[in-house]
Amino acid sequence: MKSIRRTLLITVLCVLVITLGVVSVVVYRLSVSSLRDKERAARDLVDQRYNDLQDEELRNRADILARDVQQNFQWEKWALRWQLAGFAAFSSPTMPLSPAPLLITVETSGGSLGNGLNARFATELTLAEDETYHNSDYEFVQMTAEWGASWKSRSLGNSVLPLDQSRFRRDVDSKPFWDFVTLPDGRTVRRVVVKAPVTRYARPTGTPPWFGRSRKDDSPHPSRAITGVATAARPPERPPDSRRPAPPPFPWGINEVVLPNFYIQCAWDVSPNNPMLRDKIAERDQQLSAIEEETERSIHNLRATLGWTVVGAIGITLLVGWLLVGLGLVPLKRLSYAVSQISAKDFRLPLDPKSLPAEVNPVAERLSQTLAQLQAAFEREKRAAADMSHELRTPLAALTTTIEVACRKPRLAEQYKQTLEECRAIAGQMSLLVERMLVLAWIDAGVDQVRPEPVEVGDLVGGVAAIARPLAEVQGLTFKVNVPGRITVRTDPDKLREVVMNLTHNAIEYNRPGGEVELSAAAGAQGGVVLEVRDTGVGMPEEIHEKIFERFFRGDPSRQATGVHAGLGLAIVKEYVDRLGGRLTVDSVVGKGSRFRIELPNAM
Amino acid sequence: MRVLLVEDNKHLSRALRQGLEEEGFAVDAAEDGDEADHKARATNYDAIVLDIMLPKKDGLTLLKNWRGAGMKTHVLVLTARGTLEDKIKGLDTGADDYLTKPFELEELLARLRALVRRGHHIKDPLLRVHDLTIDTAARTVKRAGKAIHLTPKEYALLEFLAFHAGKVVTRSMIWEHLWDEHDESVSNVVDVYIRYLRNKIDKDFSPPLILTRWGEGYMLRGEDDAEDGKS
Repeated sequence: MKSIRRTLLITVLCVLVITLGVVSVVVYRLSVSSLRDKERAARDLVDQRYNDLQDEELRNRADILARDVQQNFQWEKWALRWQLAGFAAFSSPTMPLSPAPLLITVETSGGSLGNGLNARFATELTLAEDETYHNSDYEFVQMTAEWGASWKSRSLGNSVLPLDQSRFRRDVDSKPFWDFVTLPDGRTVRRVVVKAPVTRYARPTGTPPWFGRSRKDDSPHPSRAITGVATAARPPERPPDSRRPAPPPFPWGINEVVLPNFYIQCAWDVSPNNPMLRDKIAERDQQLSAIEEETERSIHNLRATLGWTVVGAIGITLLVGWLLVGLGLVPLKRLSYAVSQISAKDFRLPLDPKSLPAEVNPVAERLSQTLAQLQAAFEREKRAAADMSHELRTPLAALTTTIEVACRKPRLAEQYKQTLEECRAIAGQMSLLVERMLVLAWIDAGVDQVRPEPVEVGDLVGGVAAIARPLAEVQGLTFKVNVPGRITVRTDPDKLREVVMNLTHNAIEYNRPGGEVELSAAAGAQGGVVLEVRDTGVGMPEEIHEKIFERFFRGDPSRQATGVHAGLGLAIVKEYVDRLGGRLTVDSVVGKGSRFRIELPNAM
Repeated sequence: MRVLLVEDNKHLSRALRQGLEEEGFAVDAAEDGDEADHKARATNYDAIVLDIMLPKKDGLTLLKNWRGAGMKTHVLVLTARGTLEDKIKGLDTGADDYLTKPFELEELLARLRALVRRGHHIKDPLLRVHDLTIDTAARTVKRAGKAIHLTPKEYALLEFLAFHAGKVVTRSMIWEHLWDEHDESVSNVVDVYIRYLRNKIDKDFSPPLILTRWGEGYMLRGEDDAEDGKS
């Protein structure tokens, strides 16, 4: 059996589950995607930071080297070299940057890194490598002087870090730059190139340093690594008429000096194998995994939250839905209880429909109406059954009593014959009664059929009159027939005859002595016919005009209980006229008489 | 015993009337409510057989009116309506008994006899006066163990006397209770029947049971009555 509560709950739950499912999936997808984005951004940031750190560290190394180079630059030697270079250039113009056979060396001592730098301007730049770079396999250093001298760490072996000086020429800021370089052995290394202009030099004894002004490479933003030094070393701006003496001229009349630049290249292997980076990489990886872990945790939390939300929503819906549906069903329960109280004895609905909500109220009202109709029908049926039983029981009792009386003692043949006549009369009445009941039962059962055929109304009325006239005359009545000409109508002749006969019998039966019965027919609308049976009898009060067609209803209580007039005649008349598609009306005045009017259509 | 038969079905009325009369009842018949009302009020019947569905005035209305007017006559309601409701309604209105059509004639007669006895406050169907025994159920009479055959009328007369044993019943009482409305017998018909009865009951037995009270009527000897007054 279907339960409203269950159906509603299941429907609501289905809708809820679908909605929640869709919403959850959408929210989950969006959230996960945003979490992944965030994770990616965080990872990028960590990567970036790591790369920046790495680059910074690289640069620090380069800067330290640059400072060392700057600090260890010795002017005199360089100047000499410059002159020689000029000479060399003169003698060998193709080799301004090529190594020159100079014996002048830059003697260096330990710097901040504890390293020593030897710059042999003539042939080489040397770094006390072993003291500084223990992990030389992963770290690469190359220093190049502008004039061509270069030094590279052992780790580089035969390979050379390519240097594009033009980048710095273009870039007035001389900012360091980072890039990736692929070594010949296939390793890709991260490199920083720092341009280290010489802004200070080891002042030769007794030589004034005032010549920096004339530096061509007078960048307003020197390498950061050497800024402090360079600024200190830079002579203050002075007008030409300064009291300060001009810098001493170069020997051999060279006045314009271009200070050389060094290019420091530091590079290292960025693979995790690099022991110097190992800690940083580990740290980075830890951060990355932390980020990943957090993302996973967030996703897990999200999933759990969504899951519990769905479960909670379903639970709450179930509970609240159960209660709400129950609440909504209360009026129905009341109605159902009220209906269960209805019995064949009391058809009233023991419930005030006004106390029900608007949705159920119409049901209850309709139910009340239906019950009232049912009760009326039930009462009618009950009465009809009682009437039927009465009508049959009385003649039956007469029959049995007659027979019993006859059998109580021996009788004469004549008496037996009389008894038998009596019995035959009673049986005849009963048979007539049963026949009428059967007619009505057939009509009720719908097995009664209308067989229309052309009927000459005058002939039919004449036939009825032939039978009824003697009966009327016996009672001293005047019998009139009024049919003008031939009227032919298509209808069921048997039923029509029965109708007219019944009405005529009634007209005779309920007439007064010396009264009148008139049968008349006239053509009706659309090929139909109008028949009238009029009497000057007792008549009927208006309130029973409709009731006379009910079964077993007797308008006249003074009727003789012969069984013939059991109140079925008019019921049959009514049913037949209905079946023929006609209309039956009655017009009656108490004490004056009645007129029954039948309007019959022409059946197709 | 005189009964009023109220029944609108002519066949039934006729048959019942014959049956009752052959049992020694004096029967008055009425075919509708008004007639029944009129007759019931005019005559002191021993019982009334009343149909409920009647023209003009239905049986229950009649009954209610009669009881309202203080009529004590026992009424047997006879109807085609056999439902319990109808029976209860009938009995509650004041009917003494109820029979549903169709019925057995014997049952109707037995119930009527019982009603008549009740009307005379007698419960035992065997009436005994000295050595005379009247079986009101079998309608047989014995005196000193010897069965005596009586015609219905003679029996009815004896029964009527026995109901009033020890008391004087007047000729008019006898006339009223044993002859119906249509009887136009001569006025000494009661005396004639008393004589018939004496011939059968008192002639060969002693003491005589039917006593004559001059100027009053007749009396069936009670248990303690003296033997004087014998006609």
